[in-house]
Amino acid sequence: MKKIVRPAGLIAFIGLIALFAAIWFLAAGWLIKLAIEEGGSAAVGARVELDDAVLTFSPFGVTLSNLQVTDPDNPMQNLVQLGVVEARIEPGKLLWGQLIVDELVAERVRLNTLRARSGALAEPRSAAPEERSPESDGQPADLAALNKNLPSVDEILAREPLATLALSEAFGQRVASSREQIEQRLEALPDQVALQAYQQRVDEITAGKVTSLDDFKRRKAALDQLKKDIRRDKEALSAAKEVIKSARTELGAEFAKLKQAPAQDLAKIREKYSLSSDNLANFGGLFLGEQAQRWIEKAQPWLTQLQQLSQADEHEEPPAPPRGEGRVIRFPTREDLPDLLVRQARLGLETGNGNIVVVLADVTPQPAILGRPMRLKAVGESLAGMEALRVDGVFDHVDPEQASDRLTWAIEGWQLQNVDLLESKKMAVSLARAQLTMNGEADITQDDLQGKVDSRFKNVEWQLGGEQGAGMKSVLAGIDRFSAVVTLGGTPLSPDVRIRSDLDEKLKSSLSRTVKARQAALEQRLKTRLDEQVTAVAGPYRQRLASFNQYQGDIDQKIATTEALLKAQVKDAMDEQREELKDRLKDKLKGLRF
Amino acid sequence: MLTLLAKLLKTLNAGGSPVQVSLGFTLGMILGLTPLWSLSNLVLLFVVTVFRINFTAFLLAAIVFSGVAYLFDPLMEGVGYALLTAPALQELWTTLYGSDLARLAHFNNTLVLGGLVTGLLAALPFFLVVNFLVKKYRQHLLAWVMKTKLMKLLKASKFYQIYSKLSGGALA
Repeated sequence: MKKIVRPAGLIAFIGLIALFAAIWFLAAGWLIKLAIEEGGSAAVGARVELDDAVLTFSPFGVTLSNLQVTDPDNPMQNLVQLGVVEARIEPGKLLWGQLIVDELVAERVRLNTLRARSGALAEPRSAAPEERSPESDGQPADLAALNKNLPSVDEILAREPLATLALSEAFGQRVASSREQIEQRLEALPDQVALQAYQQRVDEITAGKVTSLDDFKRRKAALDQLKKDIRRDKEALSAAKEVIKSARTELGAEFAKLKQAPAQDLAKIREKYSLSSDNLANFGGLFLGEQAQRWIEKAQPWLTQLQQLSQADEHEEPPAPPRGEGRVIRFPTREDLPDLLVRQARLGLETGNGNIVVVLADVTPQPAILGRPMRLKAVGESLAGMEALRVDGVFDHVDPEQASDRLTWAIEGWQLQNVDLLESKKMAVSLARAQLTMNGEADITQDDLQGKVDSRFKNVEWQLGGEQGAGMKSVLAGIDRFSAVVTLGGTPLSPDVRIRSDLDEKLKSSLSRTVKARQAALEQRLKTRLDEQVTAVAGPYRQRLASFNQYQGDIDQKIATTEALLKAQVKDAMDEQREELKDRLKDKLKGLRF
Repeated sequence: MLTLLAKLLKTLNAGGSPVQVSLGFTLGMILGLTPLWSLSNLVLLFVVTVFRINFTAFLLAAIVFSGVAYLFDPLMEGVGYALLTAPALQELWTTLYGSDLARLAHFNNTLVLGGLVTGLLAALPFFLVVNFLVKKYRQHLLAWVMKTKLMKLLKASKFYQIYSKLSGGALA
């Protein structure tokens, strides 16, 4: 037997195993550190660093100190930094090649911490995301229209062809020309002296007795001439009266038109410079869209990471392995476990405002083997600036053909401060303060995203900047609460975000009030100016009208005088002369008979 | 340290017959063809240390055939995959999969099974060929090799002197 077996060899075997175990024990921490750093860096695409890894035996597990995972898109920042990670591992399964972590507790977990040195690998994983063009300020045309300033009264009077101005000018000229025309007429009319002269002429013609038939004939001819002269003057007076009457009628009609002109002008200006709020569609989308996009962009990598945690090995046929590593073929068994499984992970996430406890259950890249979906639960604890936070998620990839992820979240009383909503040269809108309550849900089924987020903002204080920000200040000042419904569609990597908000209606209403007030003030100023313009020409017109009345009165009086001369004086004088001549002739005939 | 290593080698190289050397080469070959960290290799190590098998030959073959295994890795992986997915063998594998010991052996790893099966199939012919060659070497080439410059250089090394003293001057 001794020729085949060497008893000392058994001691050598045990010695070799013990030596190997001792070396492994001494180097285990270093090996775990190396495996996490190298494997993690390759998986993340940026440096993964660990200060220390310690293997513990009771309970069996590993304790990691200060694990830093660099953000591949920003190498001077960590995606996540974990202060201490304690993992309790099933040692038996480890010998089978399975890493089964019964419980993982991570404390002092912080997101987006700054790094002392760059965590970029030699070759960058991907190009930096495309910068947004500074020229695209994202401000729609209707916002520009909204901010169009109303012109001043002087500008409107200078630039607009207002009927009031034209009519008042024309009316002034018409009054002046009428006055001139009438005055010219008046100058040609007989005055009181001329009328008295007529009386003198009557007296002269009728003075003394008719001495003969020739004398009668001479006197009659003189009286006929006088009548002719009086009639001529009377016609001139009647014509002048007609001119005055006509001028009064025409000027009266034009003045009536002029009085209506300011109202017509105001109607035209109101129509032209009206700031209608009807075209202010989707202002909620405009204000909230960018912020919603930013929040989605922030959440997207984490959602992708969570999805990847539970869908890494969804290939039916395992790919060809690298050299030195074979493929593991699985066979049906009652209680099989995946190669990697974290039964429960509890992460104490430290934020600037307090702690969020994140609990993950059944984390594995092989959910089909486990037969259970990964679950997520996050609860905010005593958060400053937030009354409550709760996130629930189920990432079900048990059947890769019917994989579905569902995430629901509720945030209550989130105190927002200085949240930029719209940034452009023309206008910058931000929430100086607001309290947000949000309920959201998102479902991803086979790369199809469906989601809805209800957000309610209250105690809102706005902050406005930019060239046209001041114009919006009064519009937004009256809006201290609004709500928004964000509908998510598309795919998780390219989400289609639609926002409906009552901010549109509130903005319209507030804007309408502001615009109406501004327009009313402008109209009042304009009306005053136009009325002044009308008054400026109406005063002289009224004076002129009074003088025209006086002229007409004078003319009427003169016409009456001429008529009286014609009807009474001249006619009576002729009759007297005729009677006198008759008497004389009768006397003469009597003398001839005797 | 060198004395300790020499003592270990002396203990392990207690057998210097052609069969013991050939067995060392053959088992080293099987170990070299399979992934290092496996239960089958622990068993091989146990056999080599407990039984009078030449350990130097075992180590040498293990190193050489690790290189060979790297070259033929895809081939052996394919053999393992074909065996593990063969419908006729599914019952066997399923039974073994339920066994803790078999799971510990990582039999369901394509490279472990492919390498082990390849090594086991090649073991008998390899043993016979090596045994024949060892015998011929000792008859015709040993005297010439001992006179070569490389061997003289090796004999002059401190480790060889310690090992020679412990093992009675013979080159195992």
